[in-house]
Amino acid sequence: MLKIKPYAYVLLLLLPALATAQRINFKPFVQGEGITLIVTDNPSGLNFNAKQSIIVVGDPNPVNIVLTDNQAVVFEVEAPLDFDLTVELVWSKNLSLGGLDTGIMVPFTLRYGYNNTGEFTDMERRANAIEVPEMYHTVTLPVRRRRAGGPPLPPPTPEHAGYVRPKGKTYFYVYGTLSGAPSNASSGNYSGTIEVNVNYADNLN
Amino acid sequence: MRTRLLAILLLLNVAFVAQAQDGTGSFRATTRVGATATLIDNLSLITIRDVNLNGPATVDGILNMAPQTSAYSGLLRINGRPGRLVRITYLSSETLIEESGSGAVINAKYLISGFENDNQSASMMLDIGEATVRIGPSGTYYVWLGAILDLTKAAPGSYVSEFLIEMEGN
Repeated sequence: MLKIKPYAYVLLLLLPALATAQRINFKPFVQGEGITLIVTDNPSGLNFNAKQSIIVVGDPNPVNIVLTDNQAVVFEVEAPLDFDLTVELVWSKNLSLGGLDTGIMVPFTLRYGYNNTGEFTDMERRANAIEVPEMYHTVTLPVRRRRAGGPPLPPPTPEHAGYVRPKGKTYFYVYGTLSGAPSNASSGNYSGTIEVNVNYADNLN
Repeated sequence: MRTRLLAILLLLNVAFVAQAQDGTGSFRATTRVGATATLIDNLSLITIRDVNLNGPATVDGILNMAPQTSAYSGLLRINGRPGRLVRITYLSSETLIEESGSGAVINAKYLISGFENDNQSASMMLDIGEATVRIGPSGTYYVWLGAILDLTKAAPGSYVSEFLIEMEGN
């Protein structure tokens, strides 16, 4: 009896470690499910001259591209229907001459919106799009908006052989305002970059 | 007893391995587009005074209107950003044909001078046909237009011409 005691102590020491291993994580296991991200409208980017062909140095009037304008850049994200996406946009706060840091910049405000309601036409999708408030760089949303009220949907079907997960499309609209070109700016081509990162929503952190 | 204990320890190990399965499989897609705007300078050219060819006297069939001194010369003003270089291109010479078809002609040669203020006598003669000038601190540059007209082959009649000047900002 006395001989067993030390082993019992070892077992007791291991028990707390065993407790941490009990955590159940409901994060979707998305291995093998790619996200497709393509630019469907204006792949070259947001061109303010497409909205106003002549932008004169020193003109205080801003050039506004809004969500419903043809000049807005449209991103199409295709991903499994029952997952959530986290979209992060990183953009230059100013447009700079030749994309270089010359010290003279043109202020630029980026706005974006999204549609995850699955309409068939571009016009309907834009009409039902939700504009993300200014200053927000990240948004998390379901690929397809869930209906309000009623019980929550069942959890996603687990991966198994021969199972094809249904996919849906979410659209992002990037637009913005070019503030009045400063009077000390040189003429020329001003540019900046907009980077869009799409992830499956990660709730571990 | 020892064998049982080993089996329990082994199972505990399996539990740890099972935990290592979470936190994997985050997929990511990235794309990058540009935002661009091309700005142009506010550059304008205004005609302040037309050339008055009836004013100056003709000497031996030649009408000489010096841009730096003649009160009948034309006056144009360029407005733009101070210090900016502007290339001016203009029609340096042409032949004016009498409108009714009499065959009479006037040979015209145009001369321009320029200065950053409205001070004709201080203006400098500009290169014939093409010149590059710098807009003054007040955002203006004045151009005076004179001409040398050869009227020896002219006859009474109507002669019409438009002086063409183009400018291009750098």
